[in-house]
Amino acid sequence: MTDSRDSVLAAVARGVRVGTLPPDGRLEHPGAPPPLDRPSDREGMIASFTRELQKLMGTVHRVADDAQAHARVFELLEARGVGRVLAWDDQWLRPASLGPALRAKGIVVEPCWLPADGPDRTARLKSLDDVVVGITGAHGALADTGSIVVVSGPGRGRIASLMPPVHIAVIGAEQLSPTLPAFLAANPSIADVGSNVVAITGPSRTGDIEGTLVLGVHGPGDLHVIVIG
Amino acid sequence: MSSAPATFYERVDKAIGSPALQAAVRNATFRMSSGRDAAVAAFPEMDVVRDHARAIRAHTIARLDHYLREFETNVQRRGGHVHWAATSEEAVAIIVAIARDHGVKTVVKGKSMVSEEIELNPGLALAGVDVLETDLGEYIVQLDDDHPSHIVMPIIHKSRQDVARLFRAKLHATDDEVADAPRMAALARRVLRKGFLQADMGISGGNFGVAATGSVCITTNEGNGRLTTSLPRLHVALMGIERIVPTLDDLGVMLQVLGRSATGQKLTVYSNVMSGPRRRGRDGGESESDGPEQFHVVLVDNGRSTLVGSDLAEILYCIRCGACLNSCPVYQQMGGHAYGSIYPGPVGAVLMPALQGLQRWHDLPQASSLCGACKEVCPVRIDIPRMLLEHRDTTTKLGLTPIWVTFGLTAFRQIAVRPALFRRAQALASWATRRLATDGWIKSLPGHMARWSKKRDFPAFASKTFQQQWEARKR
Repeated sequence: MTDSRDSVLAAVARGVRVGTLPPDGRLEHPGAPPPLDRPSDREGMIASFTRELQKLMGTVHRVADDAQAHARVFELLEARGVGRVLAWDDQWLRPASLGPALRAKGIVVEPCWLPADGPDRTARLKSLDDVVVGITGAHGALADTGSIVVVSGPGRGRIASLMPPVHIAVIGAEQLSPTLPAFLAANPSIADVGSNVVAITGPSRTGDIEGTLVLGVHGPGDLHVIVIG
Repeated sequence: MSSAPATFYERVDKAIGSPALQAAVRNATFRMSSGRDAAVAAFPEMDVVRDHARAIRAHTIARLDHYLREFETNVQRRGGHVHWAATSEEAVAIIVAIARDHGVKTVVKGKSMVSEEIELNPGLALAGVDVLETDLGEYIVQLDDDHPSHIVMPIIHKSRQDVARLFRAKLHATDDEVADAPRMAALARRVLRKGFLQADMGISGGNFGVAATGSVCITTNEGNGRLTTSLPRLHVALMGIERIVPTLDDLGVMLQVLGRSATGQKLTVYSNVMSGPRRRGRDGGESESDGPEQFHVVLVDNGRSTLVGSDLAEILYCIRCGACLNSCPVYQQMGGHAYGSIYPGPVGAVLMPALQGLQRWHDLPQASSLCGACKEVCPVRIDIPRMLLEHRDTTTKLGLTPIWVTFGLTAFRQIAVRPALFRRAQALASWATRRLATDGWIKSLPGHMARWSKKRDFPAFASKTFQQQWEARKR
């Protein structure tokens, strides 16, 4: 199908050549983002991350080691009577022993795989719709905003952090960055890692009806981040 | 909302004649302005980051052809498709063709102002494709056959009782299901989730396109944007040609000012960056677990290219945060529908005439006191008052100003440049207005000015002019 590519680009180029600028107009790119002065030490970042995510009604669990992380995940599942979870593949979970440990406890661990074909895809999605808990790791976390950064990939489906009403992410304290600009500066090729990079800042929320805060309108309304270390 | 009054002034009369609407709009704009102000106050670097964000936008628009080509190349490099639409009709035709080519019957849609601009939903309906809006506010708008009244918060003109009535009528909701906002949201979630699971195609907007990586970024709080772009096998992102930023670092800067300015959030809940379709493993490598099989970007011009390089180019810097709506004393009084345009508020008053001509939209730039609140809160410091004046100037040059306004201003000029005449005119005005007034206020002005006093009172002039009082004081 032919479309208006060339005519649109030509029209834009004409305008660019005329080049009227606002009174303060400048042409140069302003360069690297302004640095933000935020704590960058481990304890300072954990404190900030915890405070910010709690303000957004998310829950942060700080644990000392892998065994405690396992225990905390099991507690969260037991409290909800959950026997089936949607999770990233074992090697992408923190710690990698979490998947086998879940199965050893008799919990069904659904992989994130979706078929390409329409009807099969719908059938698979329908079969996953009653899963209550999704479990993932993260690519990083932002102390200043209480965000986790999740990147899609083989064995790292988008749907684990998206479809179930409860999302548990297990991260290491060393994964924290002070700020979003600092994270992007440290991960310049992040868009090459996966087709979807998402910074998740708190549980799903809406204020559409009279500004009343409602959590979990589409994405998970109950977000738990377990920080190891 | 087919019953919208025809003229701007009729729409304004209707809006400010409704106490319920006024209360709803005032509450919502106050809430959002306060949230924005608090978030800005808590961000010590806000001014520096705003300056930087403005510089990024200025640079990008000044080199827009270059960055559009770079964006296209990089989307294609990742296996995505880029389509270019010169007009609304072409944009709709492109999306209908994608739907037809892939046997699409149902579409789930994320919030997109451009889709409103090009009237996408009626176009898809004509082609036999079912569209489901999935943002809670937009879903309510769709159920009620209404239009959004705010670019970020679409239903600030509706009360929760309005939504409850609507859900009872259209979804046969029980009293319990509409008892409060959380339960209404839960009902909508259940209905919309069914749509997500079986949709063939997801259509999203695009807050930003990143040239260097070929990525589209959308920001949502509900997560419907992620579901729209992840579950269906096809994803189509719809965006204006001006929404490009050069790099991911630049995107990070924009996101820092967008969330704070729009809703007072440090970051919107889901800052969602999509770079191409689901990645397929090559040479025996593993494929990504999920994501859309196809990724299409539709770049919409629809008048934007004519603004590049013009005196109005600055409006292309806009990142659609809605802060100028919330801060505008005119918008605060009458809400979004009175503008009669897709984009309401100060940004709409510049953008609509710029995109579609002053012949149709010359009333909108008049709907401003030029107080400058919009410029003050704009995250990229767009000089909206300057462009409103540009529009007013052009309106006069095109002969679109009402004859009595032109006549009145000409008469005023003749009088104002003659001091003796001016003094006599002042005395006359003072005498006349004080005769018409009760307790210092005129309830109803005579002649053509009657419209001005329909919804407000006009103050009587003082009995002595400023100059008279000054002379008396000097003695």
